[in-house]
This record gives sequence, C-alpha cells and structure tokens, in this order.
Amino acid sequence: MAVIGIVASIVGVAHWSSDAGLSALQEYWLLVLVVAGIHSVTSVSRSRRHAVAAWSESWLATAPLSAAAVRVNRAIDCFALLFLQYLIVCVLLAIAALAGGEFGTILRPVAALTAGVLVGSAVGWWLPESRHREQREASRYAVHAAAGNTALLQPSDRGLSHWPVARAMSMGRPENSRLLFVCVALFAVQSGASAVQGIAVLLVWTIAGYLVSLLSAGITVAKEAAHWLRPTPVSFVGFAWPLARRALLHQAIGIVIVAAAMSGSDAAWLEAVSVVVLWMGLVLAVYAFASSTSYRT
Amino acid sequence: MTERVLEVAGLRAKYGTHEVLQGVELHIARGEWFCLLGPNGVGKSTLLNCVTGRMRVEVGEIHIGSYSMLSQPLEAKRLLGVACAPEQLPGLLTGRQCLEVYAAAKNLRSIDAELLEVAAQLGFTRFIDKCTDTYSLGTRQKLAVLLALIGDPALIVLDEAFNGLDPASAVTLKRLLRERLSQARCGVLLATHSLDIVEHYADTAALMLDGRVARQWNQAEIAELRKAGGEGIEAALAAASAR
Repeated sequence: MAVIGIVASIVGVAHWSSDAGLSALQEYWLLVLVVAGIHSVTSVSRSRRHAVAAWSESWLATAPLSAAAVRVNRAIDCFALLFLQYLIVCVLLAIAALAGGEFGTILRPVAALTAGVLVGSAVGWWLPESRHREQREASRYAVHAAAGNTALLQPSDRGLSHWPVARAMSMGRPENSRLLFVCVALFAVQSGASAVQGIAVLLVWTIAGYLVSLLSAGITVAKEAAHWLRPTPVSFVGFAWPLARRALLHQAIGIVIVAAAMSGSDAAWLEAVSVVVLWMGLVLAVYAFASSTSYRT
Repeated sequence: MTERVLEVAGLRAKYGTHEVLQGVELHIARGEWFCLLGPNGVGKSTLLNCVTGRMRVEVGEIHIGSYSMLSQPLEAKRLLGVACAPEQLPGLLTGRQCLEVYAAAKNLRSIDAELLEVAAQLGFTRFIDKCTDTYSLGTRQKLAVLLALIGDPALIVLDEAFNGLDPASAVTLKRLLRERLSQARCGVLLATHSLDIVEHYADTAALMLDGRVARQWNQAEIAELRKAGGEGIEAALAAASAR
C-alpha cells in the first residue's frame, strides 16, 4: 500500500500543473514555513513525550546505560519520522520542478520548509514536558451518558450503539485531528474566498473527517465488541444492529450535510445525491462485513 | 448424582503449531468450587478461553449443563457467567453501560436487585457512571465479576479474579460465591495462584502441567491438607509438580 501510495504521489506530482502550483508555493513561502514549523513542533514534542514514557516503562530503564546513549536514542526516535517526511516532500517538489523544467522555482519553498522544520524541531524538543505528563484517557473525548439511577439498571443495548461514536470522538481528539486542519488551511480555502465559504469548507472537512473516523471505528469496535461479548448468547442481529444503529444515523445526517454544502457551492445536486448514495452504500457494506467477520457463536 | 455444570473431555487446543492443551479432562458439579492451579504458561487461561467459547477447540468436547459448547453454543452460553480480564473491558463505556449491554446480550428482562446489592457491597456503585478506562485495576475486577454474576449463571468462570481487589472486597466476593455454592445455584471454575483460596474455599483443585491435568485433589484430600496446616498445600503442590 505504501509503495502504491508513493508511486501514485510521484505520478500525480509529475502531472501536476507545476507552474501554477510551484509559483503558489513561492508566493506563500511564509505559510509553508509556518505550517512546517507547527507540524514539527507538535510532532517532535509528541514523539519525545512518548519516548520518555516508553523509556520509563522499558525493561532497560534500570540498566547502567550512559545518559548520552539514552539521549541519542531518544533523538533518533523523535527526529527520524520527521526527517523522512521532510525528505519525501523535498523529493516530490524536486520531481515537480523537473517536470516543469525550472529547478530554481523550488528553492524558496524548500528553504522555507527547511527553516520551519529546523526551528519547529528545536522548539518541540525543548518544550517543557511537565504539562504533557498527564496521560489523558480516551473516554475524556467521548460524550458521556448522563448519570442515572442505579436502582433503575435495565438491560439495554444503547451502550453498544454508543461505542462506535465514542471511539470516533476519541479518535478525532485535537492532537489527532490537527493535521486535517493544517491541510485544510493550506489547500482548501483559496485566496479571495469569503469568510462564509471558508467556514463552509472547514465544516465539510470536519464532518467528512468525523464520518471517516466513524467508519473506521465501526470496524475496530466490531472486533472488540465481538471478543468482549463472545461468552454471551448474543445473536448476530442482537450484536450487529445495535452496533451499527447510531453510527448509521450519524453517517446519514453527516453525509446529507456534506452533500447540501456541495450542492450549495459548485457541484450539481445530482452529484450530491450520488455522493450520498455511494457513501451510504460503502458504509453499509463496511459495517455488514465488519460485523459478520467479527461475530462468532 | 449431583448435576454437572461443566464437563470437559479429551480437550486439545493449539496456537499455530504449538499444542497448548493436550487432552484435558475435568468436571465440575453444581455447588462445587473448582480451583485450577499451575505455573505460568501451562494452559490455564487457554482452557478457560475454550470453556467460554473464546477459542476454537481442535479435538474434544465441552458441555455446560447438558449443552455442548461446540454444537449448541448459544444454549450453553446461557448458563455461563464469565469475568473477562480487566483489560478486555470496553474503556469507552461506563460501568452502567457494560452491565446493561451484558444483560441485554444475555436476553434478560431485568437486572436483579441482588446484583445491585453486590455492587454496593463491593463499593462499585459510585464508579458506575464513569468510563471504565478511568478505573483502577481493582475497580475493573469488580465490574468484571459483576458481569459474570449477571443472570444467575449455572457456571461462573473466573481468571485470577481476586488480583487487585482490596482485602475487604475479596472477602465479600469469596463469601458471596460460597453462599451461592451452598445454595447449589452454580459451580465456580477459578484459575488462580492463590493457595489461600484453595485452602479456605475450594472443594476441588487441579494442578495443570504441560497442557493437561497432572493431579487433582478432591474435597476429602483438601480437607486433609487443611488439617495438616503449615505448608500442607504448598508441599502437596511441589510434590505433584516434581513428578
């Protein structure tokens, strides 16, 4: 999949309208710098936080290793992925420039990218760790059910319906969805667009992100729920329908809003309807497949 | 003859090519507390996974009550109460939702007041509306045990269920199980390393070694070991393991 993705990216970049794209990047070099900086800060600080947490729980934590060796190891953990991403972007830009025949056009974007990555990495590395020390549990981002009366505990499958939505909410937490908003800020809202159009585009991206998260959550939750409920005599219908019920409702409402926003902009209503039908078909197929493959008596 | 709630015969199971269970035989009668002992990695949890339907059986037969776990799994599971491992609880659901979903999965019309009483005795009620990923290990264990008790099952399966429980809650749970057993409401299968439970609560105990039951002690033999006091049970286990 990764190889296919890289090949597709290279082919896409090679056929990209390099003149317009590269000149836009040249013009918006400051934006490139800021986005690269923000991404580097968050990426490095998060990696460092994870590396520190992993080290504290590692079986090597009590071994007599030198502090320098530990620091080098941690630095590799923190910077390796970012460096790889930086290299990939540079190579893609170089391919685009070569396709356009003007190599000089990428110098300014690459310089801005490099500066953003260097400054962002340094800031991310030196950010104080203390405010990140508290590991927040996933349920913090899920919508909690109202506290009820313990004496009125009744059998109900509502919790099962709630589970995929809660998972999607926890997946869409700010630290996970920040990249989506960076992409939107960089590519979706074109210069000259009104504030209303900008907000509409952001809304559509936010809902689309939630719908994709919900689709993915449906698959993972089906596996977890099937494993958890395997010792019970739950039937397939009793398992699959509650699991999909609320998620399907959210999917339907979400895709209708997206389609309405699309038809309100430049897409024809027929295209909008086909988007709704295709998406709901995909959702139904995925949920049905996930439930049937996970469920076992 | 006392009604058997669990009967395992010639059970074999494997992970990949590694055969973990190599012909396990055991049975539990209603009113019997059966402790499964053994070192790590001998197949205790695998056996419980087979009994609870989590793992496919290669060869052999498992009957819960009069139902075969292999050919009548839904009927067999209606008689089963399982305390899952604490880490298997759904972290994004509250304790209340877990109990409600489990009761619905067991097709119950209501959750009996006795279970709520047990929840209160275990000090679980104040956590009931919090998500389980905020629970401590002990609180998760309490919820897992409460899930096992839903619907008054004929066979209660517990895997190290007393780990992480505070002493007061552990005693409460042991007494509760003992009370249910004395009323012949169920049989209990407990995998444990705690010899204290074997000494004070078990009716039968079995030592598993290399995927099979190497030695079994009946009620009279356990009573003898109890009388011997001191290191009676430890010494018996060591002797059986050394064979």
